[in-house]
Formats: sequence, structure tokens, C-alpha cells
Amino acid sequence: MKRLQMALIFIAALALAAPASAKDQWLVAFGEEPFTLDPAGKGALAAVSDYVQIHIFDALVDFTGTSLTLRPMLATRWENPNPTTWRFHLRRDAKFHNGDPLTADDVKFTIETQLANKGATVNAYLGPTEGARVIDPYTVEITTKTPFPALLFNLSRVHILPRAYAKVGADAFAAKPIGSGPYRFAEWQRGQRIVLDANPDYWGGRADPKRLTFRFIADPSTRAAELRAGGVDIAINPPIAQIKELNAGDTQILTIPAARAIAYSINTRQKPLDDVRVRRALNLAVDRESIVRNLLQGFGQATGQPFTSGWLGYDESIKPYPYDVAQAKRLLTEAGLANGFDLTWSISTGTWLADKEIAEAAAAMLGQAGVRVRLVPTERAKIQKDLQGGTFDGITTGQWGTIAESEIMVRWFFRTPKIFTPELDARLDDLATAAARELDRGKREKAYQALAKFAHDQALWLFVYHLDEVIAKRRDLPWQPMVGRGGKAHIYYFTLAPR
Amino acid sequence: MHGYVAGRLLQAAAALLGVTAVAFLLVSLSGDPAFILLSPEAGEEQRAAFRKLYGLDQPLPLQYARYLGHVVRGDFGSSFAQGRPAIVVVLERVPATLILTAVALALGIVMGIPAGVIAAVKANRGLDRAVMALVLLGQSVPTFWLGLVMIRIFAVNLRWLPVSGYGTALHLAMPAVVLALYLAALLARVTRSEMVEALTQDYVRTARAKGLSETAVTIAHALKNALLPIVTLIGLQLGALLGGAVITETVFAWPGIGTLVLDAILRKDYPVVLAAVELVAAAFIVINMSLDLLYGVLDPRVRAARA
Repeated sequence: MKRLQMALIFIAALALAAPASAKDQWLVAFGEEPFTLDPAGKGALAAVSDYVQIHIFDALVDFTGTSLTLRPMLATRWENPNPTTWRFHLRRDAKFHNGDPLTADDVKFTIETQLANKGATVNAYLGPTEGARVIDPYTVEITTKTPFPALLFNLSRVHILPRAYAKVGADAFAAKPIGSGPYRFAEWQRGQRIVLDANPDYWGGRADPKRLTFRFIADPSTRAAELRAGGVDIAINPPIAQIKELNAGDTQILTIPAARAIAYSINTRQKPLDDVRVRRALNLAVDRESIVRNLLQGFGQATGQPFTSGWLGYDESIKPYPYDVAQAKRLLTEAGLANGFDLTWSISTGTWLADKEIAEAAAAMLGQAGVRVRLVPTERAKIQKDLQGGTFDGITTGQWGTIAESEIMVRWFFRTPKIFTPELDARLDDLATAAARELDRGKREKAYQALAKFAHDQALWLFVYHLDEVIAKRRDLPWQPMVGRGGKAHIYYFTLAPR
Repeated sequence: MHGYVAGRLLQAAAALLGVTAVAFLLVSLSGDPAFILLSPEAGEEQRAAFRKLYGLDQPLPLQYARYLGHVVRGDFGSSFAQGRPAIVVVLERVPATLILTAVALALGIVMGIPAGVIAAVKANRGLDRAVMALVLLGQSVPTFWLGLVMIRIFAVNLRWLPVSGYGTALHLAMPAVVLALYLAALLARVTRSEMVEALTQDYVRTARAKGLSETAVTIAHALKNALLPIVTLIGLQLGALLGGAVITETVFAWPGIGTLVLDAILRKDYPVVLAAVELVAAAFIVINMSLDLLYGVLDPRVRAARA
């Protein structure tokens, strides 16, 4: 009997002790499961897999903080001996999880592997990169065919692989990835969780918490319930209807302002949208402040430019178009459309916060100015294909997570889509090329600001809002959203102290 | 009998081929995976290389012929998203679906059939009305709503059960009950109507006239004869559950076939979608064949007709 009592007391003590030590492990709930933990995997969608990968792998440089500041990572310093050469000096205390030291050979191996990995997103980050050359064990040079200033930012998304990758083989590596990052891979229960353990030998010191577990819970309401029940410590993208409830008691809401640009691209090759007066009229007819206040509950910003704050090219002085239906009608009358016109708009539904509701509200507002909008819910792959091919009518819906560089986003929205009149296209080509080739970051910023101004003045988008990222967490968890690898939307370090 | 079985096997093969063709056509027409599996950061160069890698740049009929050729040899291709064999990706989700299906079905039968029998025996009286009101409720409450309400009560407020996930009996409790309630309602309704009809039959009157107890009459005579449509319904529901209870699995983050296929469809991971569809279709066919054989056991007339 005594023994049983002792056992019961022991069990009770264990049960009581468990919550106290629970903070050794943080549980983070995401809606989407990573595709793969192999950075050289085929078609590995960057954002979805990166939120785990950045804890396992390091890059040469990093962009962190709300203003996306450039920080050294594996490279302690770097220089451009000439406009097409980047020389990186590596830290000497970085080691892979298998014990191998991280040297210039590993960087060269990574660059060459990803240059050959043609069918993957990461290949695009390398742009006109030619190759890499080992100068000494801790110095490596990366060369490009043409000056490519965006490379520095892009390299923050190129996770450095060990040369052992070739020996282990892609399949085995994907099953048990080996990086040099603050966390080591422990376990992946498919459809459920990925478990990482802090790397005691990390060059930046052992990270806190000791164990980091990502859980995949597709339903936002279930994520919120897990958070409230204490099943997880952080829930990404909680349901907007429960924000108030989640910002009270044991739980708390955090936001990352303007983490995503929402892009309503206008097909200027179609009549009457080739007329700038018509495009401006569309922008004047939408009450974006009311949309942000009522439909987004304040989790967004009204905007008049493609870039969000933190992005190279964001220009504070570009203000949103005013809400002025009378002026919109005047412009339409001037353009010979006194009776309004019919407009098609391809929209996403349920992909982004309140996306359908916002399009419906904007369509009703446009109706006040005489524009008869037909909303066409369209599937994501088709939206993207149509934007690039110019095969949509009227307006289409896109988005881009805020990053520190602009080259890749400008290419997607303003260079490759076949939706611009020849005059607009020629002007955009000048602006984008000038910006992409400029090595001086200050001058490059000015060049992208010129592009932003042009997009605003020519009303190339129906500018409405930029979207905040919303995260819910347990109030007692000492974590602040720390943006990693330059991606404001989705990619955060789930660790205690900034490194 | 052998001829009968051989005929059924041929039918099964034809059905599988048909399912494969339709599924392949549907997924191929539903959009270009290169735009979903690669981020927009990728350019047309990367997308073209991706299509080439997986043969998506080939004409559709050729893609289909190739696919069939591989499937016949047991190769279901690689998951576009994960780079692992599609059949492995699907099979590792089977246990979760099987256990949820088995427990939900068992619970549903245990609750539903007795409820239907009782309602039929007490037809149009108070108890019948009460049971049928519950049945109506069980069939009309949306599963996602019921799931969220149960989470709220048992996991968030009372903290008796984990909100979601997989691994222990506690994790299984809520999703199994949500599915079982729906199944029980369905079974109770069908059982009741079949039983009401059976209880008016001549053989029931004869049995009563022979002086058998009311319990024996109800169970051994009426229920046995009412069982055929009930078994059919159970078989159909079993097939549907094996295909993954998408909504329930999603609400409870249950790592079964349903969440996998939904995910794969959204990601345009066609090899995984196809492998799952074929696996589920095969299971469906096996269930249907077993049902047919079971009919013979339950109903001597069926046996006689096949001989």
C-alpha cells in the first residue's frame, strides 16, 4: 500500500513537473506541411518548406528584423572585386551536424548543385550566376555573367549543403537532412509533425528552446483551439473571426505589418483599360480605408504602390489614390465611357485573408462609378499562368510576400507578364533593367522607387491594400516574431534570442 | 461459381482501368503543377525544366500511356512535391484511415442498428419519435460544426481530450465519435424502415403464432430478413470512409488518406492523387465483391440464382 502511494505521488509529481519543463519544447502550428527538407529537392516550393529548413541550414548572409537588415551569417564579410564577382570570407567555426567543418568547398558544391537543379525554385535565385571558385578553405568567389546585385539577398535563400550530400544521396539526405544550422533534424511524422533538436555545437551557441516541434493543422479554427488548450505555443494565421478572443487571457495576437503585397494587375492591352484615365478611375472609385478597417479589421494598410515597407523601392511619399467617385465618373466620361463599362476580375477565394469579401466590396464600389464588375473565382495555378501569359480579361489577383530585394518580384509582375501596351512595356523595361543592374544599394532603391512611382501614376494595378501577417501565441511564451532570410510573410526564427 | 468469380474479377479490372483514365484526365486538366509546386520566384526556364523532368511537356495521350505502362509494373511514379514514391506517400497514411474507419464503423453499428430496431418495435410511439428526432439531428448537423463544438467542450473547456492529432486512443475519441454519430443516424433510419416492413410480414405472424418470444421474433426472424439492405449500406459507407473522411480528418488534423488527397489536389501533386484514387478504388471493388459473396450467405435465393 505504501509502495502504491509512493508510486502515485511520484506520478503526480511527474505530471506537475511536466508543464514547468514544457518550455524546453516549443510547438508551432502551421497550416501547411513542408514538401521536403532537402534544399536541393525538385520543385521545392520555397516558402512552404523554408520555414522549417532555415532552422536546419545556414546561408551565407541573412536579412532579419522588421526592416529586413542585412546581417552576416556563414560569411563574415564580402566584397566585389569587380561587378560580376562576389568574394565571401567564411567563418571558421561553422560545422555541419555530422561533424564536418563547413568550408569554401561546401559553398562551391552548393552553388554548383543548385545551378544544375534547373527544375527548382532555388535555381531562379541564382539568376545569371556562372559558378563558384574556391580561393582558400575559407574564401570563395561566386561569379555572374552580368552584374547581379540581387544575388546577395537571393543567397540568403540558398541553404548551404555539405559535400556529404553527394555521398549520402538525395533520398537519404531528404530523409535525414544534415545542415549547419541551430537545429538538428530529429524526426518527421508525415502529416503530423517535424521535430528538431537544438544543436549544442552551433557556432552561434546553443539555441533556445532545446526542442522545436512543428505541427501541421490545416484548419485555422483547430489551430486556434490547440493554442487555447495549450497544445501548441504558437499558431500561424489564426482565424480572423477569433482574433479578439485570442488576444485575451492566456493567448495573444502579434502582427507583422505589411507582410504581403496584394496585386490586382490590370491587363492594359485590352480596351478600355489601355487608357490611363480609365485605370485611374478604377483606383479612385475604391474606398480602401473602409476595406482595411471593416473587412481586414485593421490587419492591413491601404496603399497606392506595389512595394510594402521594408522592400527596396518602397516610397513613403507615394500616397494611396483618394476615394473620389465623382472624379472617377468624370475621368470615365472624358474617356468616352459616360455609361460605364463591363469589367472582368479573376479572384482567389480563401487563399488570403478575406480575399473574396474584399473583391466583392471593391466590385460594389466600382459599380457606384458605373463599372459593372463580374467576379470570376479562379484557381491558383490558372491565375498565375494567366498573369504571365496575359490570358485574362480585365483584372487578376496576385500576391507577393515582402522581401528585401525587388528584382524577382518586379520580373514577375512588371516584366514577364504580357499585359502591357508597347509604350508601357518599353518604359518598364528601362526602369527595371536600370534598377536590376545597379550595384549601389542606395541608387538601386531610387531606381525601384522610380518604378513604383511609374506604376502608381500609370495605375498599372488596382491598388487596394497590403496585408499584415497575423500570429497567435501563448502569452507567457517569450517570443517575438523574428523575420528570417528576408521573408516577412511566413519565414520566422522560432528561437528565443536574436543571433 | 468459378465462372461467376472470374467474371467479377474481369469487371473489377475494367472498373480500375476506367477509374484510372477518368482520374488521370481530371487531374491533368485541372492546371499546371509547375505554377503551384514552384514558387513565383521561379521563371519560365525553371518551370519548363520541371515539366520536362516529370514528362509534363509531352502530349496527354502519351503521358497516359506511359503512366499506365508504369502502373502495370507497380510503379506509381514519384510525388512531385516530395520526390518520394507516390505509393509510399499514400501507404504511410493508410493505418490512420483504417483505425479511424474501423472504430467509427463499429461504434456506428453498435449505436445505430439497436436504435433502429427499438424504433421499429415501438413504431409511432414516444420512444420511436425520440430516436427518430435524434436521427434527424445526427444526419443534419454538419460534421465540421459538430467537430468544432466537441473540440470546444471536451478539449478547450474541460481539457479531457487533446484538440487534434494522432497517436493515442484519446486522440481517436472525438473524430471517431463524430463519424460514428453520422453513421449511426444513417443506419438507424434504414434499420427502422426495413424492420417496420419486416415486422408486418407473414413469416413474423407465423413465428408469433408458433409462440416464439417477441425478442426471438424480432431478432431471429425480422432482423435477419431486414439485414440485406443494411449490410449494403454498411459496405458503401465503409468504402466511402476508406477514401478518407476529408472534413473530419481536416478538423482534427488526422493524418489519414483524406487530408493527404486534399493536400495533394491543392498542390497539384498528381502522382499522389492518382495513387490514392487507385488504392481506394481497389478497396471499394474488394468490398463490393465481398458484399456480393455475403449476400449469398445471408439470402439463400441469391445463392440459388448463381449456381
